[in-house]
Amino acid sequence: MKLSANLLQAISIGVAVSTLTSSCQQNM
Amino acid sequence: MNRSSKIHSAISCNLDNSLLQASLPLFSAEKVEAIEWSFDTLYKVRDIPGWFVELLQAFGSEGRLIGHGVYFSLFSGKWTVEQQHWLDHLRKIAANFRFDHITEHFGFMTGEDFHKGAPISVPYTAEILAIGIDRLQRIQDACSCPVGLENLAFSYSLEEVRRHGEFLEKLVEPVNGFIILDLHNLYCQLHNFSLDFESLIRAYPLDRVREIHISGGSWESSGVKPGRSIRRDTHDDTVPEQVFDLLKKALPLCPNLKFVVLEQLGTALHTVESQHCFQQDFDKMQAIVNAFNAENKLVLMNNFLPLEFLPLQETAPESLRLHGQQLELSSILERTKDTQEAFQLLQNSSLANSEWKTESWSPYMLETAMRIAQKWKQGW
Repeated sequence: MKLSANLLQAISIGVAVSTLTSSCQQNM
Repeated sequence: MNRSSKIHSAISCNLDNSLLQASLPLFSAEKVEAIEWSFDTLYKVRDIPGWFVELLQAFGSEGRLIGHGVYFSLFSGKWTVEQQHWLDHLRKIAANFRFDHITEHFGFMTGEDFHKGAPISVPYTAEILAIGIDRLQRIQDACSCPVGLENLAFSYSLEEVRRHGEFLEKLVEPVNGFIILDLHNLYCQLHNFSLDFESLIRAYPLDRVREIHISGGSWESSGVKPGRSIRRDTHDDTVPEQVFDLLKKALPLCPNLKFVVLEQLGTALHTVESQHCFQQDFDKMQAIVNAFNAENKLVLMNNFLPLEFLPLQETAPESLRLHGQQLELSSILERTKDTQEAFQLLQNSSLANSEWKTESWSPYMLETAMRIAQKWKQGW
């Protein structure tokens, strides 16, 4: 199924930010 | 009611960084045709990100969003406030997202509170059947869409394995519900009880299969039967070749099949290599499904919506005797160190010489039940 480019970008950024945040918590 | 359709290749999709990282290339390549969301696993999350809501809505608006519950505990003997809250939550999210169907697991949860434990089987009695049917009716009332149940990976005895499909059919038939045929769960049963696919698969109501799951799992050595390995449905590895073979065999047997879902836990997708393997598993699954779609014109004979209006009972039926037995069993499974001690405790419990038939449980499967309960007693 086709998802909009905006949504794909938002998911990509959202996951990246969330990953960095949890990495900080686990330990810019 | 008849309509032509094709089977959709789907992934389990939850708010999990590793799982989403593994899924992103599949989304970008427009390969994912549907997603399955475990809608009750966000109880610890304060805010759901807007992009995740948009993802759910995008698939929902195309009729490609399916919901898979984890915590409801269908066969708990006692009706709880938490179960009512679960239904209230489902009613709200079903108003916000368009689910094509909602499913739950067979069994009762062993944990000491609502979000702990693992689903364990129950005796197949008329009293327990009535409780299960009531709970399914309540789920259907809350979500206003088709409802289904997944076959269990774990059984105590061969007799229980052979009767599982028949009991599932009796459960879902009153609500015109359906079955998730989890092929890795079936693979566990085939291995753990030395059965062959052809005889076991016929014990399931295959015309009621609307969804198939495939996943990976793990092997565990038995301490009580040296040399014996137990297959566990741990969702933490790639899909075995044997499960892909089961998929090829199962597709032609399920005339009302609509979704095939690849499941894997995000905790097993932390490395780039594991994420790549997940994508390869999806491609392999989709190739099998596409090949079947190309050669077969599927005409769905059942939309699995209720055939008649069934009013809910004013008070949810309970069995305090069953509740007591479940508490005793959970305690034994979660706290006992070895199977010999567990069997002794069972002999002195209210489960002895009862419909639970604990006397005929396989020692290595009791050992497995203890490992499952102890693994999940602190929650997911």
